[in-house]
Amino acid sequence: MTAPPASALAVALLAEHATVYGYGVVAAFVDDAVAAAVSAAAGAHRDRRDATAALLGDGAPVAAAGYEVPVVVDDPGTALELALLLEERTARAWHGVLADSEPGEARGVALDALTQDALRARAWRTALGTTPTTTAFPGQPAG
Amino acid sequence: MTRPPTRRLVLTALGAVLLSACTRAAELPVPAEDEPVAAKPDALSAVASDARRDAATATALAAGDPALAPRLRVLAEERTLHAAACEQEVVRASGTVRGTPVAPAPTSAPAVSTSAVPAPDLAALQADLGAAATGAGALAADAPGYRAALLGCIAAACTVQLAVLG
Repeated sequence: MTAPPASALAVALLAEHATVYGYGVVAAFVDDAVAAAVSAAAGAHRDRRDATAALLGDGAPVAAAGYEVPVVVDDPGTALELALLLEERTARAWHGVLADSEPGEARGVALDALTQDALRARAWRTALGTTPTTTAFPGQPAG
Repeated sequence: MTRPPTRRLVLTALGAVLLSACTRAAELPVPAEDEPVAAKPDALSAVASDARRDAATATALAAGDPALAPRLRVLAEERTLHAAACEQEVVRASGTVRGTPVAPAPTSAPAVSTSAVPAPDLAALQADLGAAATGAGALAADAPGYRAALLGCIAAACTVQLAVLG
């Protein structure tokens, strides 16, 4: 296996830790209509977090005790807004892994993560009624 | 009967070997940073032309399908942006390799004659998008970092667009 670039992959793991935490907040406020999708998303991020930690091995950064949530969540709408922000943030982190890695195993993992994040971001934009529901370059930093 | 080689002979021979190794190294072209693995032709050119093709198909389909038109127009916009980004990267890479800047690619899509375009077909567009996602993803695996990130975005966007079309 090609040694993955620790820094970008560690950043991605930190983003996954924060996202798993964030989905806990999301789950507490969303409507029943999207509860199953939120639960599936949270599960996917937990799996991604664990796989990324395993890839990093002993030096893997651990989760913080808590995270500052980037938006005030107090109803189903703001919960979905948070879910969208979480997906966009993890997508940026995995985009960073693609940009900073050498050809090798981390590329496949990063592309899959980026794609899954982009699919979920589209689902949350659809649920929010935001148009367009997609972006041309998912994960790419703005500007 | 052969004589054992003298110390001077051995050193001279060794020096000659080292000198030729150095000469050979000096003759090797210095790879430019971020130079694509297979430089000719640039694989991103095909990614760009596929993106332009998808944009043209989506635009043509939108004209005859009011229900799907909003989604198809977004798809066409995204694929046009993909093409432009790839063309820009091709120009950048070729400029780096040759050491001289190259004139930028035209920003507008080249005119497509309607007679050259086959009748738009949603199933064909979906197949093309799937192939574009797979192709860009495969190229991302072996590309230098900047290109890997660009190709990864494009692959992800194509997969999402497939989901949008259902």
